[in-house]
Amino acid sequence: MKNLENQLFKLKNIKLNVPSEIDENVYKMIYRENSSHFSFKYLISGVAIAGIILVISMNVLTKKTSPDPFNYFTQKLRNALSSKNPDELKTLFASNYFDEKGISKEEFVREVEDIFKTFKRVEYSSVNEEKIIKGKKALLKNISEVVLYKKNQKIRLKAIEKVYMVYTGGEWKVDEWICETIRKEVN
Amino acid sequence: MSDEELFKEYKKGRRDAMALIYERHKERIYRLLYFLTGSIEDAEDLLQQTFLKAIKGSKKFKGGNPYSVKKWLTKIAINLARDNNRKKLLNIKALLNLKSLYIPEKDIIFEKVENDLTVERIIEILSTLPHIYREIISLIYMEGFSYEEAAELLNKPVGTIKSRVNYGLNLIRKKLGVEK
Repeated sequence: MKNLENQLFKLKNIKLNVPSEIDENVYKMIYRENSSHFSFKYLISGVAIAGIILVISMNVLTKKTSPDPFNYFTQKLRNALSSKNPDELKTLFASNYFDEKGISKEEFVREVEDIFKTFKRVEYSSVNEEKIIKGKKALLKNISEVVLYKKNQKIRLKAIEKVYMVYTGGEWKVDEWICETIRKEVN
Repeated sequence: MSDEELFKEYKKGRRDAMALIYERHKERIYRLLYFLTGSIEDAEDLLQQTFLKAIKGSKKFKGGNPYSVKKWLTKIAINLARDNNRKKLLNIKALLNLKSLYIPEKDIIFEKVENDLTVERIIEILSTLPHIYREIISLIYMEGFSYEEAAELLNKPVGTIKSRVNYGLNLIRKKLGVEK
């Protein structure tokens, strides 16, 4: 068996064809990552400028009582969701809303980012049932942390349910198993 | 255009440059991950994660020798495979028997091999080796890295790499029932 090493070198000749759906996923990542970095920066800047203008208009010009922040947020959320664009949701979560309510914006955004990553993992592992369950558990843990983090639980629960819907392929279908478990966590 | 040049272009904002890098390396990384994890499903998952990490970490990667794109991607893949195997908490034998390391016949192309030692048989034996030996043998023989490059990838001295290769080869010989 002097030729063992030569035989081992033949392993180079093994060719595995990468499934086309994997190619598609990687291509999506390549194009999404760059474009989201680009758009996210500008969206954040846009939201910041819009926020400043809004505050000035409300405080200086009208001097009226601020609208119910929960309703304001819900309306914004509804608009973002109707666009079915995850970037808009991210922008909303990254807006000054949570700072105004005394909640750490960075922490919340970080949690949401983690959830997004988990969604990605679940999506990429869709061929493996065991991994989906594992991903869901990780997702649940993240969601629970966000939901239970501070106040406004109902709003957050609702928001995160919606985020989940968006990330399950844009279909408006809630994964009941997840939502029921979140409700148990909240209650 | 070399990988490094493509990578520079990608950093400048040309997204298709990363797509080209993916096309160049996907089969190699996929095969390596398949050998290291023993599972097609895991290899598919980790191939995507490898490129996700590469995209995310692209700002930190400076490129240029000795940190070539090929080595960088390989290192990411190796680390992911290690994490994956660790998380599974399976021992190597249970994870990598031939049943789990099935070969999808339609998608795999073998070169004809000599005598009675088939590539299938080599894979079967490799799959029973402890991870560290499978890792080093895959890098040296399948990926064609030098001892020095493998040492750099695995953060081990060259001497350790050489001794692992020898030990791994001896294990294979032993399993084949032949003398050196």
